[in-house]
Amino acid sequence: MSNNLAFPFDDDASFAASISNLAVPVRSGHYDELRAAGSLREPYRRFFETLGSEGMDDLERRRQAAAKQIRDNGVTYNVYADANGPSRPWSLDLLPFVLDAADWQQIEHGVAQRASLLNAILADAYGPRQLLHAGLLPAALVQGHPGYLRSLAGYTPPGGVYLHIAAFDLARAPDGRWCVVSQRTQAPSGLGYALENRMIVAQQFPKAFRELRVQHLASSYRKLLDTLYSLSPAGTSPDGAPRIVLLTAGPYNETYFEHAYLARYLGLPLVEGSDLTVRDDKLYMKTLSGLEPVQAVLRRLDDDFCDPLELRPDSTLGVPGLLQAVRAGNVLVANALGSSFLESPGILAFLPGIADHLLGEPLALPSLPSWWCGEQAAMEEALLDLKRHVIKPTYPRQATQTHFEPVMCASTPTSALAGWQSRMQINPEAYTLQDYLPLSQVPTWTEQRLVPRAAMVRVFAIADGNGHWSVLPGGLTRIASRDQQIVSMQHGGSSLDTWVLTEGEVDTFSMLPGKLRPEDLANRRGVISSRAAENLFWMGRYAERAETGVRLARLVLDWLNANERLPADFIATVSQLCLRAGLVPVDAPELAANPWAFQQKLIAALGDADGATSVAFNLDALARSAAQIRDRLSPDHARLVLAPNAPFANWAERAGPESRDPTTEAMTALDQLAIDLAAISGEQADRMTRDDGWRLLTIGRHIERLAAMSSAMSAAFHSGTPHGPAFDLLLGVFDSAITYRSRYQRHEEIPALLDLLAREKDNPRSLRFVLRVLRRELGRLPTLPGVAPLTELLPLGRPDLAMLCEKDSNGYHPALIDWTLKLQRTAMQLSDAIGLRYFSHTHDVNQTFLI
Amino acid sequence: MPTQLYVAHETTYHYASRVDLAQHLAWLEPVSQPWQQLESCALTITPEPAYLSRVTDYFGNTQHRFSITAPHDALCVKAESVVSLSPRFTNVDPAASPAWEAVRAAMHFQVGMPFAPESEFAYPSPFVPLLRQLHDYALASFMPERPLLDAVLELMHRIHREFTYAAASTEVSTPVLEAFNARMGVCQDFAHIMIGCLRALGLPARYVSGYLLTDPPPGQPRLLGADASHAWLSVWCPVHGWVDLDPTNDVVPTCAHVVVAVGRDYGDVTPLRGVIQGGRDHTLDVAVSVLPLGGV
Repeated sequence: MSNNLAFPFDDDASFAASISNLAVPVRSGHYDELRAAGSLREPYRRFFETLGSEGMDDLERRRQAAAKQIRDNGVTYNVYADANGPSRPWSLDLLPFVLDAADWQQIEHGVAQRASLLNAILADAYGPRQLLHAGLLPAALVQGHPGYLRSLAGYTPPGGVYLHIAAFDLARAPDGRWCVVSQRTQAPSGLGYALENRMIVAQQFPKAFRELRVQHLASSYRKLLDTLYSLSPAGTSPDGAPRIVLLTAGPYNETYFEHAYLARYLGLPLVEGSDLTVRDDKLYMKTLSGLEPVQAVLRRLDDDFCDPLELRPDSTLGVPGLLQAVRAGNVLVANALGSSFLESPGILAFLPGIADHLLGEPLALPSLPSWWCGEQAAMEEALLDLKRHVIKPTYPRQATQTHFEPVMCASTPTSALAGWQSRMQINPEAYTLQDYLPLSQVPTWTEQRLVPRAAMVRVFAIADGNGHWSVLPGGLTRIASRDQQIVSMQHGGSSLDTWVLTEGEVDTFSMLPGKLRPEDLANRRGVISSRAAENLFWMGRYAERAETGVRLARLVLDWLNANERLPADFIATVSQLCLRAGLVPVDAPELAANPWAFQQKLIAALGDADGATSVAFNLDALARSAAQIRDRLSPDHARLVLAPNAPFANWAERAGPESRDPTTEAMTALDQLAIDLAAISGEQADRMTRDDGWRLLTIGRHIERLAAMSSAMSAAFHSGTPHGPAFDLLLGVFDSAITYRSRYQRHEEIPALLDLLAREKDNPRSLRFVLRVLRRELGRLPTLPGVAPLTELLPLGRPDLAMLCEKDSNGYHPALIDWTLKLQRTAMQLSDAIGLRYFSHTHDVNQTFLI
Repeated sequence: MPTQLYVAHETTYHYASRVDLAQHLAWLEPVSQPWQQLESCALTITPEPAYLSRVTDYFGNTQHRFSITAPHDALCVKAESVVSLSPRFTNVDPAASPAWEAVRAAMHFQVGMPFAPESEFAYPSPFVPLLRQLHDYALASFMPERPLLDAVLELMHRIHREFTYAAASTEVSTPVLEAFNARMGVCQDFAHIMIGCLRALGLPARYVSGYLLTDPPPGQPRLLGADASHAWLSVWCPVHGWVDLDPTNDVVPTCAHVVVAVGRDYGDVTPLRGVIQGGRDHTLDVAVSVLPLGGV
């Protein structure tokens, strides 16, 4: 009974009637979740009454607020930053799906029972195989299923728990009863989305959420963590706490957002396969401070991708050796590997018999009636009335097998059905028939009406580690698009928050962090994984490499464009510089012989992303590295590095022999690109926190600069002392022309030049400055016991000016050339040593690998 | 009188760039069977692995696992074994085997009936998918009620006759259908094709990885595939047990075939596989020699 004064209706009945009037009728033959016999069902009556007419008027605004929240979440996790990457395929409708306590009790009991049954089947299939010997389960659905992992036969996971999370897609039949349509047992998705939907929708209806006594979700997530902690092998930290990570397939996976969201909520590091490594049958996370033991992996990666050594060899997403670490008992993987054969629809037909045998009780929640065609009698029975069924593949999609989407027989021509029948006769085991089920319809708020949509609810059972499963009181409701009967997020469907009402107490436990205490702050510095560090390092290198290439190309094009005749030594220097920087291929036309052809070759190479040293290639590589660590970049920074610079990309796209003024067009594009590169450099220098990740980026940039600048200097002195245009060009390459001119005007003094470019401590491009930055930042990286610090690879002191200026009798500078070659070697050695020590962790700490 | 054979199998990888971390699995140690006694087996790995273990796999084979954590440019794995072989399959009477349909029926699920463990080898596997083409090809030899081994032997003769053995004509990754359509391949393809034929009919067949005597006894022809590791297959007969068949040479192995390991297909018993970090391109050299050690 509402006592809302603003309530404009005389009584509840007329309000309910007005809500009913807003509702579009459901299709006949479907269960109507909103209404029964013309009046609102109890949970929806209470929901709308609490909302009241004011609330109804406000629905449009709330819908927009919810949509904005989803967009903002996408931005927070940088899902949109990459123009070419997958966009966020998430859609949420405003109204929750409301389930009353009686409905839920039935579901809860049935789902918990089923989770424990499936766990028992796994224990049997990887153990004594009684079910096979008793003829209760066909071997074709176990060993005949590609998801059965032979190499785990005989292995029992900690606590005998295989399914830490089991998910079930439920549907309500026209008679109002619930049934299980499918089972998700290897790496079920949805726990993150269910949470996100709850955060957004509950915020829009705070009063209804409270007054209807909607069960909270947080305790279930806590239970999941507790289970993982209690089942994990003991950790090696002082308190013995195990380290748990969440394993994702990475940013290109369609549910990556959910992985990131869930990891942050659960407080687990989000890792990819390449963050982990197995040594001596133990699992480690590669971090900047060394290898850190990992005791448990909550994985969102399908079985066959998890270990390329033993499973799919083409998987680059997994961890080689993971299976062996699992078998050795050193790591918990949740869910246990090898559980995917339970996802086959074929197995549903055998669950009633197995439940009787293993649990001594009937299945509390039935499956959608299913017939596995590998059983002759079952197939014959189902074929009698094929039109009532849906044909589904028994086995998952595999490269070597033909696969098909479910076939709804009622809407398939008889001639086509005959084809299906004959295929089923040839290889019956590959086919499963299921009853066609008209899904119940839930109300959604669409264009000021309550529009019914077909719905399925994914619910989650969570293991307690002691042989029982509890059910998350809620779930992920997915709805079909308006005229569709198939519920799928890929086919334009949407989702709803799922409200489970209770008559008892609401558990208000919260996982959201409380207020931070000052002592918490010191511990807030997260570990930096080697993969993140490596990508940051290469971001630094590629950004600098692109910048150097662009600067040199602009200088060279400028000179060639403005001058008809150039001195021979200058031409030699330009050729050397362009070759060493990779701006032109080694087989490019001789600049001296054919300046025009050389210039065209240089221009053509700039935008050629296949050339491994071209500017376009460096930009691509920069974007690829950045995409791996997008969560660490500010939105501005992400946009700059992930999306290609538009003017340059457009130019590269259409530049060709037909362009009228190729040099000017190229120069314009390079000018635009240079501005973006300067902005990237600014983001990195001024807007990133100075942690070890940033340090690696900076080191990467300066190693690149050390290599490029020392190489440029040696090119300029290659054929004697540079003068005239060659002198200016070297200043340009070092980006030091303005400083030089302001100090020495038009004087052309080699000692002044070398002092500025090699010895100056305030010029950020001088080699000494670069070495000082490297010494400082390398010195701040974590050190490993027993290994010399990397700063030992750097030359000591600054070079002697007299030595640099020294000339031999032929006018060459052997000491200077020698010094620059040493610096180039130093750059290479540093890069190698950093890779071994911090990224691949293969350096044996007892050996000295570098001289 | 057993024959004693010495087997040396050397595999060398040369990498174009440094490998930082390598993890490998090897099926190189011959299994012991009633008719095959493993006298000794030594595995020499260069560079020395930081980790090495030896386990028995799901199929009962001996598997070695090792990892190398020091940077390296080359990997050499040498397996040297001595085995004593007794003649086998000398009393196989094809006519005494049951009708092939009965064997197929025994693999089928029936509610409440115990299953046949051999049915595991009647299902498709990663390298041997279920193919209509193989079914149709095989069926010509499987007349109704024909004794299983009678039909199987004829199938082997046909494959041997109609397919061309051509070294290096296919790669490990060549799909079985491609080799079938080309009517050409190496011993692995011959084995996979015939396994695919049998499984397409619902019969259990498994893959055998092993070696052949390099030089045959005087007066007998040198067998194909003797200079590398060899492969053939086994079919399940309720009367005779697993019966080996070598379609590459059109023989039922007696005592020139050394069995290393059995599995569903090549992928289960690859002599040497691994995952490396770094390395980029590589070249691979394999050398196998199998010699008699007196006592012939």
